[in-house]
This record gives sequence, structure tokens and C-alpha cells, in this order.
Amino acid sequence: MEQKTDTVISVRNLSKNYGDLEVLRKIDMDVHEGEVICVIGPSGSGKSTFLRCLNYLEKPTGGEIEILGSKIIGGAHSRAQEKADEKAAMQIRREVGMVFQQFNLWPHMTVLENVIEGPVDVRGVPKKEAEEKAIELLKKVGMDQKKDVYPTQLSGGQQQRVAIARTLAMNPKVILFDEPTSALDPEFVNEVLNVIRDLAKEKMTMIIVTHEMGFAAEAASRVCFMDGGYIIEDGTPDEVFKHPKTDRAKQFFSKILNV
Amino acid sequence: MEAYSTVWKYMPLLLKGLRYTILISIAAIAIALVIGTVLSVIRASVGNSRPARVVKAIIGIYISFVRGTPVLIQIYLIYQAIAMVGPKFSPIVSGIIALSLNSGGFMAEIVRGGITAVPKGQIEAGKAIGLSGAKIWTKIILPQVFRVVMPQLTSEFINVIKVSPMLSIIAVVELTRTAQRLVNNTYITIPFYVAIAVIYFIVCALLEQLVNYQKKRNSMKGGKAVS
Repeated sequence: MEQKTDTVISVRNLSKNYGDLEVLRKIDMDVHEGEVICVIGPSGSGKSTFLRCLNYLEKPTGGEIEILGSKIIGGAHSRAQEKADEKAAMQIRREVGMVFQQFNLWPHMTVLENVIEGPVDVRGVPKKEAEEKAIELLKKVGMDQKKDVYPTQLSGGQQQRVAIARTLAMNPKVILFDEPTSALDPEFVNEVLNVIRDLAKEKMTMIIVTHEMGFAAEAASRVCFMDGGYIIEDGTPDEVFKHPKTDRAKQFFSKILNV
Repeated sequence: MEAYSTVWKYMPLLLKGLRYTILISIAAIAIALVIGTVLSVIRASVGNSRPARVVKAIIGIYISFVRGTPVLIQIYLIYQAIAMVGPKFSPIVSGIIALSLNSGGFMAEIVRGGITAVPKGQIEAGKAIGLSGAKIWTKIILPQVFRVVMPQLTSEFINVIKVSPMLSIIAVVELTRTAQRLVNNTYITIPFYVAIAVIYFIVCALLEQLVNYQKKRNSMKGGKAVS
């Protein structure tokens, strides 16, 4: 198996079942440093579940995930193995950030407190230093003016930008985006996508589950199309959008593009 | 009216009784809060393994017992039980233990309700950023829980104060017991009970105000979790 030196995520045979329902079926994927991967596909195809397995928010039921040297082994196994998985997950979460559809900012903390929470309590960065870095990051996402405000006073787009800053504060090697713009009013979608575009320019490694096809076509270095728990298309945006190999993808795009 | 001036004469004694009422209530509320919080955190976090289910069952029995039997009897039984097996505790200590155990059961139910009200995404955000389980509890979940359940907890705090007169059964001389003694000595009845009713009312009203003030300060810091 080809194993490039800059592989940051390596997924083998990843499966996830809920009882009889197979959500992911033996997925293989390698993610290399600097790749911006958009995962697209119909609802219920397993996109979010795939993403959530990567940082162990969902426990895989089969296969292996290796991220930056830490390994999660899926499937029924011993209590000791589960402990080892949890330990690996903690290691992975320090290096892999996640941005959620519903933002999930902590409402009892100010914007600034949200951003410094990880660095202070996970990495042990002194508060003052964490705050300076946080303000820098908030500037980057255009939210430094709101640093002392509580999340509920912000629009969805603003909350999501803060959530991105909160993730960046941990200096992640990879960021997972779980439909970052799906819960936003249309007018706020672009301000969030622009932040992600900027990160792409800086060669941040990202996996983005999204329904924004235009964004995927223009910003991704690679597009994966998921359906029924499989990755059925995997290539450059050009390959996947213009020359899909499968009928399912062709059908999907024809429906979307007709709109 | 003469009777009321007699009551006034004995006010220092009543206030001494009040001191014990307050001391006992504060201690019991504080310990109950710890019991209630710890029990609900355990119940919510041990999972579903065999030993975990046993632990949860024991906690469940404790809560059912506390909620399903008269406080008066709990106070008496705990006093006797401690006297039988343990070191010699003063009635006050025994009373504080009884009230703590009682109120702790009620608070555990209240806090549990608050925990289920915290959206799952809040916890996932904490996990995703790498926070440990303990940090997720102390920094993310519990601060939100206490905000949500403060009104019910306040009722329970007040309840502790109002239940404390029952400690007279084990001869704790708090406010009500003091009044009873004075009634026996002076043959003045209603004025003493009116007086302590007013005192209890003032204490509870002050407590409520304190909590409201705290709540207002908190609500200025943004609202509840969305989604």
C-alpha cells in the first residue's frame, strides 16, 4: 500500500452500524497534508458519521483510523482496547479540530472565554498568552470587536466564525467541518465560507462536509462523493463534478444543477 | 399587647435560636448540594456496565427512600443509628447530617433534570477540543445546569429552612424549639408563634432575593444554550 510521508489521516475498512443499519461500509481514505477535501452527497449517506468517527465522537464498529500516529481500532473488542482507543482519541482531538453545524459555542462564556478554553485547559497555556493569541485569531475571522460578548447575542454567521477561531486556537493540524453553513441564514453563508477559503490558501488540511457545491468546486483540492455508506467518487473537483464515473453521482448532480 | 412586649423581651433568646437555625440550614444546604451534584454526576457518567448499574440502583433506592418517607422519621432514625454505632455526635451534627441526606436526595433529582437539559452539542464541542471528562463537567455542563435549575434549587433551600424545626424531635434547640420552651414558661402562645413565623419569613425572603440578584447578574451574561 502506498504510504506517502505526508499522510496525516489514514482510514482503512471503516465501518459503522447502528444495529442493522449500516451507515459506513468499509471506507478507505488517505488524507495528505494541505489537502482540502469536500465530502458531498445526499442526506443520510454517512458523511457526518464518517467525519465524527475521525475524532471518535462516534465509535467505529469496524476498521482502523490512524491520525498522526494515534490509532483507533473499531469493532467489538476488549475493555482494554476501548481504553486504548479513548486514549488515542484524546491524542487525536488535541491535533484535529472540529467545527459543527450548530456552532456549539458555550453560552455561559464570552467569545474570548470560548476561544481560550481549549488552550488553557487542554494545553496548559497561561491565560494571558492564550488571550493574546485568541484576539489575534478573532481578528482573523473579523470578530475581535465582539470578544466580550456572549454567543447568544451574535448572528449565526458570527457564531460560526467564533467557533472556527476556537478551533484554530488549538493549533490543529487538521480541521473537520461538519456542514458548517447548513444552519445559517443564506446571507451569512459567505462570511463563513470566506474564512474557510482563507484557511485553504494557508494550506490548512481540512475535511469539509458540505452541501455548497459551488464552494466545493472552487475551493476543494479533492472531492469525495458519498452514497449509502460508500465513497463512490473520489477525485479533483473537475473529475467528480464534470466527469463523474457513477450513475448515482450523475443523477445527483443533474438534480442539483437543474435547480 | 402586653404579651407582645413579653415576646420582645425574649427576642435575644429567639435570635440565639435563629442563629442555630441558620447555621444548621447553611451547613445542610451546602452538604446537600454536594451530595445532589455528585450523585447526579455519577448517575449521568458511569455508563451502563454491570457495576455501574448496581451503583445507579443504589443511588435510586436512596433517592426513593428519602423522598418517600417522612423527614421527621428520617431525622429520628439517623439520630438513633448514629447513637447506636458511631461516635457521640451532638444532636446538632446528627440533625445536619439528616437534613443533608434528605435534601441531597431532592437536589439530586433537580440537578439530574438540569443535566438532561444541556444540549449534546455542548459536550461534543468540549470533547472535540480535547477537554478531559472532568473538565467537561466542571467547565461546560455544571455551570449551565446550575443556571437552569436555580429556581427549583432555591425552593429546596427554603424547604431545608422550613423543615429544620423538626430537629426539635432530637432536642436541637433552634428557633422553633426555643419558642416552644418560652411558650411553656410564659403561657403566652400565639404571639411567640407569630413572632417566629415572621422571622422565618424574613430569612426565606432574604434568601430568595439573594438568589434573584445572582440570577439577574447571570442573565446579563447571555442566555441559555441554543439548539
